[in-house]
Amino acid sequence: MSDWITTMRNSSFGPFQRKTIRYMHKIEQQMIETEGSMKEATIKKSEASETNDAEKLLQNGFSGKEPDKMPEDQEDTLIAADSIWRELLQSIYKDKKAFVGAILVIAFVIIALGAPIFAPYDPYEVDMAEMLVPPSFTEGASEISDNSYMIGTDFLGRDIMSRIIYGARISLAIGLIPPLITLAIGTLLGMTAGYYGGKTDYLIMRLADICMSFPSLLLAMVVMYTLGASLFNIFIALSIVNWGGTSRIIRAQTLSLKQKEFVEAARSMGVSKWKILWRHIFPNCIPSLIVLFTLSVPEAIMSEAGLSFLGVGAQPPMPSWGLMISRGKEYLFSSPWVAITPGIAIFIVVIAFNFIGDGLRDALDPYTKHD
Amino acid sequence: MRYILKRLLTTIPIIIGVSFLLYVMLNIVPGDPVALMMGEHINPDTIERVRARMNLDDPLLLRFVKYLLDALHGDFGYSYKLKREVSTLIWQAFPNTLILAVSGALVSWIIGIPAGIISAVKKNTWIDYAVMTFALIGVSMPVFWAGLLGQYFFGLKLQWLPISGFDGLNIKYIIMPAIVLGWSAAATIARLTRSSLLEVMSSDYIRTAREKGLLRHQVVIKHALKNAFLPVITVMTIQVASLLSGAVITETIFGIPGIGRIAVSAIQTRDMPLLQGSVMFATVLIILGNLLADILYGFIDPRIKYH
Amino acid sequence: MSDVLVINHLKTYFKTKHGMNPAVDDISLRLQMGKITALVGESGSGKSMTAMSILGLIPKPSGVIMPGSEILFEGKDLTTLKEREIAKIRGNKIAMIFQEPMTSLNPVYTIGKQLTEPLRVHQKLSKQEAKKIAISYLEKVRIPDPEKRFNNYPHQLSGGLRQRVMIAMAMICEPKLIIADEPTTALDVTIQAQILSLLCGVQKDLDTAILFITHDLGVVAEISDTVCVMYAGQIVEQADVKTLFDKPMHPYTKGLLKSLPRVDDDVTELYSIKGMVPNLIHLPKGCRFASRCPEATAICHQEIPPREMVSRDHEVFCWLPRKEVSNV
Repeated sequence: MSDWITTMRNSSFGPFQRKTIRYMHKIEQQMIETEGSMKEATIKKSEASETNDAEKLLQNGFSGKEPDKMPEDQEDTLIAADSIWRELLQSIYKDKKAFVGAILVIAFVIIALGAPIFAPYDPYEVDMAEMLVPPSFTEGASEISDNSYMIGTDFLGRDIMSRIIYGARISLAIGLIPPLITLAIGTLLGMTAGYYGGKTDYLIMRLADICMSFPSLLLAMVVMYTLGASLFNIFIALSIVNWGGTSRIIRAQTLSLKQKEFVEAARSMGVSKWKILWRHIFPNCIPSLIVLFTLSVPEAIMSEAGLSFLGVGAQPPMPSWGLMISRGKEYLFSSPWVAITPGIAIFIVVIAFNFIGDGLRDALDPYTKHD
Repeated sequence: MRYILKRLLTTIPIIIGVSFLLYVMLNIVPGDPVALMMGEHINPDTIERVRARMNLDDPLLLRFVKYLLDALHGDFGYSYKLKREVSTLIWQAFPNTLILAVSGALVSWIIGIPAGIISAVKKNTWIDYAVMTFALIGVSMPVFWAGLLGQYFFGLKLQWLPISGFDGLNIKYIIMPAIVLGWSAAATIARLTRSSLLEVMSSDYIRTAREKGLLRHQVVIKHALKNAFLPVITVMTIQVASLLSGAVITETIFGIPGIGRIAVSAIQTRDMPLLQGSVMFATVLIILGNLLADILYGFIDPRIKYH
Repeated sequence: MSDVLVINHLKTYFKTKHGMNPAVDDISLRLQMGKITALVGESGSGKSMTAMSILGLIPKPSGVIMPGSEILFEGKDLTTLKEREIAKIRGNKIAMIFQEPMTSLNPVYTIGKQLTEPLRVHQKLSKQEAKKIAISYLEKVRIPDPEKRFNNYPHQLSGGLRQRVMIAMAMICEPKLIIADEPTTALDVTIQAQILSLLCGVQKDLDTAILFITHDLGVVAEISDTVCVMYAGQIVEQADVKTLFDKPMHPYTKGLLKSLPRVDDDVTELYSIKGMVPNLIHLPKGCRFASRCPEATAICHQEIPPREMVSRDHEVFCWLPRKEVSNV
């Protein structure tokens, strides 16, 4: 343990690498704890899952598989990953901030999925007679229109609330899909680089360097130029722009895991490289991937909003939050609600993910924990 | 010296790689780029001439090498949409972006660093909580939304500052864009300074310094800050890039004629040479900025030179 | 023999989530001029916290020195001094050497700058004067090529050299007392011996008192004059080194000595004290060592053992001596 810390103190790691080391350190601890006491750990695991059904459900939901039915050779790696899962969930539950964040995110998902139920009006319905009606709680709103719009209508008479609710679907999709693809690309390349080393490693890492040298918004803009401005293309642009950081972290973890006994053992038994990567190395990268995911969700949502705001993303009449702000900014001084309210939605969603991200980071990072 | 040289040598392939990637991406757009650029009613002679001027009939790699060599001489091609040399447009816009980015960076340092230090020194007091709450709000607020809020409250309601526009170094026009731009960077810096300083403060050499008879504030100033700043500097250099990304949006909101705005309008008008020139210029600028920061870092951290 | 530092009834408690943790619980100690006093105990027994209490470097606000504690140094009670006043003593009249030479020096400053800092702070010397003194001390701790080393950064020095620098730094203001907190634990065995002999030499030169904190009884036997054995925040036995090794009274001390590997013994298996250190927050009634003590009787579990003077310089906190008396 102490030599990890010494390595950190004595070398000039950037914050990103430093963080990686901390995760690795954490994972290593987990490994030490589980190694040699397999039985004990298995018992502990089953006890824990019995005591908390909801937690078990979530665990299985996350990993997508029933842990008990795993083939035996995966057991050791899974336990390590499992106890981290438990710790993560516990930390979310204990940490008030993360808890609030989780509730907000759940609400966001529910609203997005059930948009047709929650939206009071049709988000696309243009009604020039109902143009720029102020929010219903302001004075004078009732004089302008007989209908009541919770946060008013936009310059085409569309109900902003309904548009924001439908826009949640776009943001949810943007928040989920591109980060997942980014993580998949980054993980694949990172594991390949770390495991194979040599020229493969060099090539992939230089490519990562190049991608990371671009300001991501500019790169996304260029991709949007090539592909043409549309919502679908934002998915592609955001998916391929940000994999550099992920691949670096995963590479570092793979490098350290490669030397672990269980990997050496598997290798000596002639298990194929891809099987080792998938069964032994990948499960141990999951905790860092979760943290990276929570960090990249708000980033993706912000990027989409930014691109749409600049007019190189979603196109009208899409109810993208960024686009709504962009289109509403011309009416900022006369009808500020048009541009301001979608921003509140972005802000709440982003802060919710940041809450969770902070909580997870504290749970995984031995340093901040001891503060 | 060897360190600087090494860093320089690793930077060159990255710059070439970055420009190549950009060039390929912009040149694989389906359809004839010239026709796309010039519109439909154009006579074939002109198209031929433009194609020749842009070396469009050469293979991609050769075109790229030619472009890169021209770019080294400051020639980024010609914008047919604006009927100007791309380099002229860039050089006109660059000072504005530079002013904006530098003032944004200043804002983020002036707010972020002291806030982080205070927060760490007063750990777990209400000041700490207040600063960290502000920081969290800062990192969660979209730049363009913050810009609009600023325009609405400080521009329209309070009338303290002009709503938009730009006037060289006229501070009145710079304040709001700079704060909007620097705000989230300030939040990141504050959070990082705090955690870094706290980590350093719990280290053994800080205990040594205390044991020597230095007072707490002397220890913070003389021994802790220099160490705590090392990771902060790294992040500050990474942020140069995000500042520039933010500048794209900030320039659009406040109507500042900078490089970001050029790039955005180039996309909208599908002006490829202009987009290519401005993005390449900005990216190389960032890479060079990072290089400079790394070299600076080498001077601050004595351990680096000997690795 | 005059006392440099007198500790009376020192209690340093830590507030934790689960209650007060009495890390140092009512210890009294005298450090004599020119003598090396060893403070021995397992980790967590409160040795280091005693040292930190002397220098007023208890982590705040969780750590508190309880009222009634007294640390007398040059006629002043250190526990009542203001931060500014005690800072004048630290590194000047009382200096400290730490366990981790690898991390105890600031990586971004040269050895010279860090070495001269106490002189510049306490004696307000100029850079040139301070440098001259610093180099003479680097020579004293036998660092080769001191002029060059003065301008080196810590990462350019080995662990042994760094610890020498730490010793030079502790000595540089010619303190009355040096507290050495496990100064050799992190070093190789051969370098350990060098550092110890160096420390002894320095101590003779300056005639300072040394409070030597360690868990290594071998080191204690080698260098100290007086020994205090600590267990669970309290001193359980205190005697001069010869008495303690020849006639240990407390079962804990006996256990510690038995667990030392000896060259002249043919024992194949090392002795180890059974059980674990009690949780300081939920202390048992009676003697803290009772649950692990092979000689414990009913009273040990019921009442706190009294202070027993075995001889003039030998005190022990245990029921055993009384029982022996009554048995006779």
